[in-house]
This record gives sequence, C-alpha cells and structure tokens, in this order.
Amino acid sequence: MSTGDYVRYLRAVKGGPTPLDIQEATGIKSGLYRQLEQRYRQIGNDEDLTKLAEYFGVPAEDLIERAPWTRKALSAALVEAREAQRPIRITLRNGESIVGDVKWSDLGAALIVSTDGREIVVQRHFVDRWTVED
Amino acid sequence: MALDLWQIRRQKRMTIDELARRAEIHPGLIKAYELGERAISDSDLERLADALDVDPSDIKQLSEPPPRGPSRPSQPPAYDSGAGQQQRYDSFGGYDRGTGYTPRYSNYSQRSGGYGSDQPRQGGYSNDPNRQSGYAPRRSGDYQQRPPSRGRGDRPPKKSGPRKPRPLPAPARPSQIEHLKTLLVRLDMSGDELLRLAGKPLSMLNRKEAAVLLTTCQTMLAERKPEKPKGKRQRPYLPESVDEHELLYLTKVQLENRPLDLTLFNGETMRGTLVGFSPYALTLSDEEGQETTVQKLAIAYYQAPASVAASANGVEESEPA
Repeated sequence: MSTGDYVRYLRAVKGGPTPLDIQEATGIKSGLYRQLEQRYRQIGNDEDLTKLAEYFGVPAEDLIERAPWTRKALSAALVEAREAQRPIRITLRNGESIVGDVKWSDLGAALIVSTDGREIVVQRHFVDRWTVED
Repeated sequence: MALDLWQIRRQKRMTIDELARRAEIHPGLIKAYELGERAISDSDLERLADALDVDPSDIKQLSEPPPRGPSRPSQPPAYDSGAGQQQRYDSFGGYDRGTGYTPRYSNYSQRSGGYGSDQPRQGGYSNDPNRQSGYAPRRSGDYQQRPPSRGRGDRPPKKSGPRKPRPLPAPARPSQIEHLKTLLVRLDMSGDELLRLAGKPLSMLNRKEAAVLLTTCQTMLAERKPEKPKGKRQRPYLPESVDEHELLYLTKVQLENRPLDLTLFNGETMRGTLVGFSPYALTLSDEEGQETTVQKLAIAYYQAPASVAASANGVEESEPA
C-alpha cells in the first residue's frame, strides 16, 4: 500500500474529510494532499507526512517508511518480474504473502499465478511490499 | 448657344467656391463638371443656372475642359501625381485664392503658379520659394543650408573611413561542447569522422559552428532511430495507463458464470457469481440469489476456484492438493 493508498484509507476511516479540510487542519501546502492521493510517485517530505500522521492519529513512520514504496515502483517491479519471467513476492497489508509469476498487471490490479497454481487477482492498493525474486 | 460651365462662370467673374455656395453644390462636383469628368445632372443644371443667372439651356451638360494657360511650368513637380491636370486647370482660372473657403482640395486651389502669377510653382501649399519645410520640394543646395534637426542633431557626424572590423565570434560554450561529446558517443563516431564532419577539432569551434554541428548530429541521430510500427497503439512502458486486463478477465469469468472468492480489506470473505462489474465495483450474486455490490477499494484480492481459473484461461489443470 503506497502512501497515497494508505492516506486514502485513513481518510475513509476518519469519516471522509475533504482534502481541503485536511489541508486547513494540517497547514500543508495547497494541493499537496490531492497529489499525494492521486499521483503515483513520491510526494511530500517528512515534515508534511509527519503533520498528516498526527492528523490521522498514526505513527509518523507509518507514512514516512511507505514514501518510497510508490505505485509506480510497484509497476516497475511487476513489469520486471513479468519480462524476466521471475517470481515476485508480494506482502499484503494483512501480513499475508503471495509468491508467483505475474500474468498481467494494470492500473488497479495484478494477476499472480501462485506457486500452487492459484490465480489471484491482487488489488494494488492492498500491496504493502514486494521483491522480485531470483 | 450653350457654353461650357467654366466659360459662363468666368464671364460672371465667379470662383468655384462662390458658385458652389450660391448653387449649394459641392465645389468638387462643380470642378468635375467643369473638367468634363461628369455630365451635369438636371437638378444641378437648374441650380447652376440660377446661381449664374442664365437659362439652363445656356449651359452645356458636358463641358469641354478649359485650355492650358501660358504660365504652366515646364516641369510639373514630381511629387504630385495629379499635378499635370491640376496645373492645366490652375493656369486658366487662378482658382479661389483668398476666398476664405477651404474645401478638401484646398492645396490645389491655393497653389501659386496659377493664372496671373509670375512665380513658377514651388509645389505644396507654400508660395514662399525660400520655404524649406512642409510640402515644398527641396532644391539642390537645400541640404547644406538646412539646420540640424532636434532629434538627431546631438549625434556626432558619422566618421567616414574604413569600417571597424567585426569582433571575432565567441568560442563555443562548454555546454555545447559537452552536448556534442554526448551526441558523438551516441553516434559512435570516431575522431577522424568528427574532423571530417566539423572541419576542425571541437575545442576550436566557435559558438555558431558548434550550433550547426549540434543540429547535424541530432539530425543524424534521429535518422538512425528505427521507425515505429504503424497502426499499433503505442503504450508507455509502465502499465499505468492499461486498464483492460482486469476487465477482460472479469468479462470472461462472468460469461462462463463462474463463482468468485473475494477477500475483503477487513479479512472477511465472500463467494458468489459475478453478475456485473465496473472499474470501481463488483456485484456478486450468492447462492440465495441475493446481489451484493462491493467497492474495489474494499477488496484485498479475489480468485476463482482453481479448476474454474484453469478452465477460464484455457489450461487443463487439476486442483492442487
């Protein structure tokens, strides 16, 4: 789960404040929150993420450590695994791990053929970490 | 016997302006009538006859232009394209001097050199032969006598002499050289080839030569690129813009009426037959026929049972133990 996906989830849990509400409450730069949710690359610095973490009531490390694990980085790993025909290990937000070959990946999901032959369509917003294995 | 308009007007010792005022006709139109450029209309003929105190039948409807006078200058001023005709007309009538009326051809009617004038015409609106500004054409010698103008008078006169040699062109910028080196590496060009192309070593290039060489190298590089296959949609390397895989997969599962196992964000699981979907949600029908729409954001992952999945992908596989 990228920082964008995570703050979107936290916003939903908090009852759906608007990006403008969050911006006014935290004092972060105008438009930053929207970019954080919508863009696929790394957005915001540690200071901004700390303010957001305080607002959502989660540890700052939760956001800061996720910052480099962007959706774009996941795309790159999925493409690399598929083209190199190497298995990928995906760790989900619930701690579960799926290891398998990437059959396809698109904007919202990826189809992983696990080592036991199951075809699992993983929603990308539920992916926490990943490794392309040798 | 009918006479030309100008003849009658002259007999009555009237100027065009006087006649125009009396007849309430524009002087330009009267002039056109007198020159024979236009035939006098019936209504104007009556007015002119009244103003001249003659019978309308005494005025020719289409006048002959007045003859040339003796005081016509030998060379008409070059600046006035219509000068020949106007001069001819002037010379006869000596029109309108001092009448006070200023029609739009006033410079025409106030020129010198007309009837009874001994002065050769200087042109323009000035009768003063010494006048050196305005419309008056300059005569030879005027340029030396003319005082310097205000605007450019402060400038020092141009020095006549050999021209200052142009400064040498600036040497190529370091960024140009750097860019050139990168391009040459990409072109896999040897030192000899470079010398042949540039005509001199890179360090000796000036700014303009470097710019030309850069353009040449970039053109060569562009020509080396393989052509993109036509007709096929080009997609970016990363699949961020591709959103059809999941929809195709779900379409196939739906058409084959196969069940899906959903695992939700909160750990719950759901099983049902896919009855519909959109980019943001799936609708499943359970065994009792109850339909539930689940937002994709609430889904962690989903899978078809192994046998169904193998069949859906055309692979004959048995369910693993």
